[in-house]
Amino acid sequence: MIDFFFKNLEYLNSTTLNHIPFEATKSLEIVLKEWIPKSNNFIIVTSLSEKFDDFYFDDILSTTEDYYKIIKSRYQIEFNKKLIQITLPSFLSNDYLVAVILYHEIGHFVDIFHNISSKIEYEVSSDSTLENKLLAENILCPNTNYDRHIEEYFADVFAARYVGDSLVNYLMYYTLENSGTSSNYPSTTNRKIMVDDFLCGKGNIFLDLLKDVSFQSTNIELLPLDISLDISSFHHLLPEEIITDTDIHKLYPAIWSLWNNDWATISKLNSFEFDVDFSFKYDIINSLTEKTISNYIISSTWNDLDVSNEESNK
Amino acid sequence: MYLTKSQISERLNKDLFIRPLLQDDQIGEVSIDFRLGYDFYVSIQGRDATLNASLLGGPSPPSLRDLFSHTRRRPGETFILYPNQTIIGVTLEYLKIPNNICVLLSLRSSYSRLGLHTEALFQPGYVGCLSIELTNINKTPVKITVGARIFQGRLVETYSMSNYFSKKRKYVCQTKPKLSALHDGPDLKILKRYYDSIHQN
Repeated sequence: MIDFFFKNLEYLNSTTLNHIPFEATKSLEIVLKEWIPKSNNFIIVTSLSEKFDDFYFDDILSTTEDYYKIIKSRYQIEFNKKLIQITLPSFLSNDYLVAVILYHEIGHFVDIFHNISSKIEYEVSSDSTLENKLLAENILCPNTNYDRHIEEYFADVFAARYVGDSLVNYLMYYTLENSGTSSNYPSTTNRKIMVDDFLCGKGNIFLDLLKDVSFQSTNIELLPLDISLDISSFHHLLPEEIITDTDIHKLYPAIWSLWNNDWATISKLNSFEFDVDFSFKYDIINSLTEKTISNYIISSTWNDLDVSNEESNK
Repeated sequence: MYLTKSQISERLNKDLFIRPLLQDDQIGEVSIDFRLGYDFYVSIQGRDATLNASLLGGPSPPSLRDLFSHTRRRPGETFILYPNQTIIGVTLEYLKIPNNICVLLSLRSSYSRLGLHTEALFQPGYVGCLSIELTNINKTPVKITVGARIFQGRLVETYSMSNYFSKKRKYVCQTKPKLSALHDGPDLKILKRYYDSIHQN
């Protein structure tokens, strides 16, 4: 119980609050609204870790009801809001290319909230024919934790709904296209196949099951969204003027495309008289992405609150 | 010659870009009001006795990171600037300045009267949020609001066009404050070698 309180405080102390990457977490709030009824009862909190690969979602504060029940019965304290805690590496808190991982992490929360993976795991473990088919198609592997593999597949597909193949492509790069399976993680190559099948609408036995269970649990169809977005302002070194919440999701695949593109046109447009290197591209993409999201948040909030707008609309 | 309101408006979104421009009346008769951004480096007392702006007498290059602390706020929140404290920040607005216009940034008089000080020049062709160094030269702390119209920029037309990207820049598309990169330039390195050549014998 003490650990529970300390964990809450860790995410709410001023050191943490003074470094919130609110541009990166905005997309998660939008996703939350879509998938979680009464999403206002949750607050997404972030902690910046000094470990280089520390991306994770911890469900203790948001989904473990026992703590809240004990606190209520013993201290008569009822929490109106619960914290969804997401940890990310401090040095990557402004890296919007890597931030696609956050979609995977919030996918874990949606999964646990609606018990999606646990229902799939139950179906697999109670139907040996299904289990054997999944093993034969190399989607699940013997002597591994099926539940963890199913959770990872779900979170990948969930992320792909919003950011296309950006996440799996990053994982392929990060793991050097690792085809090895661990007890808790499917191989990266398998994860890519699953996402590619999802994005191109090609069914497979697992994907069909995952979509069915997801729909039964949430009443939302788990399908890829349109991810096309014009970010030609970036070519002129300007933040893009996005107009809807969903444009934020579309930014991520767009900047991955820009990252992978040849910058000859951008160099010419801006009369660069030097060679564009890795760090120059990286800084520009991240700065413009952050400012695009930030400008959208500030402008839309401002327009909602500006009294002069209210007057002129009368 | 300063650009007037009509000249600024005429060039806006053609070769002069300001994002976001939350209120049209930020464009005044001969200046544009800019807002305080939300990311800051705050000067703090560190272990080092001095801010070493040379390449002598310390680790090479000296670290400024230990003498500044990064913090961020949301618009509408406040920030207290203590006497003699300097903060490095940026404007809320991101600008792209034409290749024949430079921007002179200063405080709006309402904030100068509180004992705050800033001054900066941005070259033709600059792109990014305007970097500001704000110091409280008053004897009392001053509480300022993030997002408030604290600065004013005057736009000055130059006689000829120049290319901001004729060389690789230290600060490009800057949206967050950055600590001084003075140690990275060749100037101090040459002066260090000059010093060494004198003191070798």
